[in-house]
Amino acid sequence: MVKNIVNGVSGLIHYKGGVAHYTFLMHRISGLGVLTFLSLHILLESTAHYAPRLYDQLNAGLQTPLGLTAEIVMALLVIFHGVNGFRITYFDLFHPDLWTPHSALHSVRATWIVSILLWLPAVAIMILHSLRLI
Amino acid sequence: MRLSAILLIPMVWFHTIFTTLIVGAENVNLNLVAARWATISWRVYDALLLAFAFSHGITGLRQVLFDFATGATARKTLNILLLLFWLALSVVGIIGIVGGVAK
Repeated sequence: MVKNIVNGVSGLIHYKGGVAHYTFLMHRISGLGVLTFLSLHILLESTAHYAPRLYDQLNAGLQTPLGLTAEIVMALLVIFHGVNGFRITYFDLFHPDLWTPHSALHSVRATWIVSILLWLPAVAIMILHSLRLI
Repeated sequence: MRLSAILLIPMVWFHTIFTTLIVGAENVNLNLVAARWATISWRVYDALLLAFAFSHGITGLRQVLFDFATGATARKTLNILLLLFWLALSVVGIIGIVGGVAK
């Protein structure tokens, strides 16, 4: 078990797969990040039912620069995971013939570009919201 | 995974765009949650989102863990732990949504 983890993690770091490999890693990291957030999000939101007085106090903790930073990072993780997940699903279900190194590499680059293009305006809107400008 | 993924892209993105970009995190408070949950369709939406997203996440976590834990006993233990974690948080969340905000 420990050996598996050491081998697995060192393989994940040292494998020279370039951008496609980083995309695979980012899919896992973003997935685990979103799951961690979701677990806490379920607990926090359910205080609206279990402990209504606590809800606004806990929420105020998120309406801070630290909360905004977390929100901005989470937005990138969710957007990336969705765009990349769409790419994988689309290839798997409709175009398995496109699973060639060449077109897969193209689509991987497109995934990053689309993700960042969707993320930047979201960041701008979230910052404007936090400054109460909109 | 693929089917919940296809459902989750529109569902999660609508949820996050609505709460963080349209409403804005600084405007989220208990009154807003109460107002939203006064409509039954919002509650159904939130419950479905919770069920799909959390199940998808736990399945993904299981897949990642299984890459490292290859033994039969380790996998069996992980399966039980993941099932308990999934069940516990799902029940907590669903009861919260069904129960709603007490007046």
